[in-house]
Amino acid sequence: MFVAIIKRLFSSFLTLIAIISVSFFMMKFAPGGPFDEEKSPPENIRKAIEAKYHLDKPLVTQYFLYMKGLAQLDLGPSFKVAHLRVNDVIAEGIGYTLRLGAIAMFFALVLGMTLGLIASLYHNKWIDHLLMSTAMLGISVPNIVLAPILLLIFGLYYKLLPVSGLDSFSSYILPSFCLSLFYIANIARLTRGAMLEILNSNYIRTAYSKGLPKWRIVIFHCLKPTMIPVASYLGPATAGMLAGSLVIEKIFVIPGVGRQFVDSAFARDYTMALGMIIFYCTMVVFFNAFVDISYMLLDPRIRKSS
Amino acid sequence: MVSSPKDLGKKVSIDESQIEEGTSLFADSMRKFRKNKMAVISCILIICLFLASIFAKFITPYSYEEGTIEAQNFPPTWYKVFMSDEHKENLNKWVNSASSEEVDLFANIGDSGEINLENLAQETSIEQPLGKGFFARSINHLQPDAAEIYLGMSNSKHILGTDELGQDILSRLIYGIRLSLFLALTVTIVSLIVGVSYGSIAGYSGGLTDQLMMRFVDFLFGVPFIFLIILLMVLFGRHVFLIFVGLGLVYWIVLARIVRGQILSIKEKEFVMAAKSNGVSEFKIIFKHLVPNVVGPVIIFATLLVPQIMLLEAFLSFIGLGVTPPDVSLGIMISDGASVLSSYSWPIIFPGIVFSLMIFCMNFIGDGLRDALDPKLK
Repeated sequence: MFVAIIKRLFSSFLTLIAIISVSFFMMKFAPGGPFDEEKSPPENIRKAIEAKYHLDKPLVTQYFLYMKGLAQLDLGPSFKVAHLRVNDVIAEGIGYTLRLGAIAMFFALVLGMTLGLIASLYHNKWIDHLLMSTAMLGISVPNIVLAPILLLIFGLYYKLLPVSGLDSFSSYILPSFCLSLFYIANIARLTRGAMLEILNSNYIRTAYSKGLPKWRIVIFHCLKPTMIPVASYLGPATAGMLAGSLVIEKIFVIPGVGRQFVDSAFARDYTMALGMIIFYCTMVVFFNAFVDISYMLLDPRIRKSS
Repeated sequence: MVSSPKDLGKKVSIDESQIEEGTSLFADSMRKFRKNKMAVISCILIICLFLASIFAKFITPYSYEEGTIEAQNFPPTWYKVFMSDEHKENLNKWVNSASSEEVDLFANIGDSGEINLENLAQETSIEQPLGKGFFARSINHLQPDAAEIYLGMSNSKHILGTDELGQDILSRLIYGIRLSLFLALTVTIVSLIVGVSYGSIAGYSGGLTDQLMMRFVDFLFGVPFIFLIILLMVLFGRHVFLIFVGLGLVYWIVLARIVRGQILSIKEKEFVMAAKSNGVSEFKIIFKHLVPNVVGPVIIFATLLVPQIMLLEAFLSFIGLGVTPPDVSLGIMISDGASVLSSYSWPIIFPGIVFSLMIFCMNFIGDGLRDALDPKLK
């Protein structure tokens, strides 16, 4: 078990190294240097700048210097704004992004699993059909459409929820709901599917035949195995949510990492964009590993085999 | 019937009506699919949109990249404007100060130059204000000057209105569907070719080759590609071609896994052995005998892939890293619409509805096909 966990962490570490290397060389081979401005600086200043950012050294050296920086958790400087470091920008925005993501994930899990559970318990009744059609709708309406329209209805027209500003919990409701709707719908569908299978299985029949009340069976016998497909979905869901936060932060003007990323992408600040991509990828890769490990702990079949 | 030695050699007559007509597996699935009403309706809708986008040049009333200043921000034709007293006052003021040419533009008012607001109200049912609807709300919010109200009322040329640059939304919508669909279909086909080849070769070869090939796929599986695609777009500019490459690089991975699994389960069957013993080449065995047998799951996956790619394209375009103007995709239209949302709602409503509807339909088609082709996969 312990070995399996170490193995999993090691492989995500390797994945990360590969991602970083590919991204780094992609940046180096991108057309246009970082200081190709319309007014190019005099030769000696240019040289000085290049020396400062190690751009005068061979590519491999630059690569190792960058890796060395990363090992010390330093994502390097911005090439566009003097004295601005990627770390600082991320540190500034990470609170907003993580809060947004955490609330969205909470919505997705709690609402998704509850709705899926209800649908499965009323299988083929009207409530099941209603919930599943709504889920289909939730999967189909992308957040780039949903968010502006909800913003208009709840924020500008009915003025129920704040449109911008992040001073209270209520200002997080709309953005995180828009971010999570797709995942609520997907998790509801997954939960329903898994529950239907479990409700038909032998051990549930045994539990019924022992005369256990239904609520006990659902809570103590069904819930844990239902979580397995949901847990395996959490990895892709996190990646999707982090990507979705780029859009949501843009629409709701939240000063999170996503917003900074989009800005840096437009300013063609390559090192900034690269640093943030690495940051995102690290979060996703290690969260995936975390999910896989929790998956091993949840499922006795996987636990025994490894 | 041959039941005893006596009957041997006798002519047997068979009652034709008693023979059950055999149905092929494919016909069976198609029958099942046709029974699924939602899926069939979705299919028809998508085909209509597809045809519309193919013949976009002939059916769009306007160009998708040219607008006129006079036609900025026209609301849709059927749009009813809610006028507050302030608006009415503005309108009156404008009419009194406007030149006769401008006033002539009031197609539905008459040439007197004097506007009777009561008449206007009857003609456009202003007295039934849509104050609660957010279409109307958006105009009210901006408190437009009278000229804008007038434009809203006499717009009979642009059915779905125009956007900020005076471009016809209907025309842009059709072209947008074209680009989004074209992109999604191309990427799907590319992923199909790569994924099926990779998966079937790995599955058929087995042994070390299979191990190595699938290890590579497993490795790629853990990479959050969406961020790498974003980085690709940031670094190498925003060409449509790059979106193809970026997306095409990703989706074959899942497909390769599916195909490999399927191939593994059928490669020991007799028909493969028969082909082998007849000296058929490996290439032919894979692509002529094995691949046609895994078509079911592949089709299901492909139909569910198309909406995913459309979503991703829209996402990239929305954050400004996808398709660039003057090209128009649904993502670009939604992005443009979102930026003027507090003033005008129609530039986002129509592309938003069409886009969601397309995704909805394709999900239904995918689900319908899955139920029809592979009942076990539910």
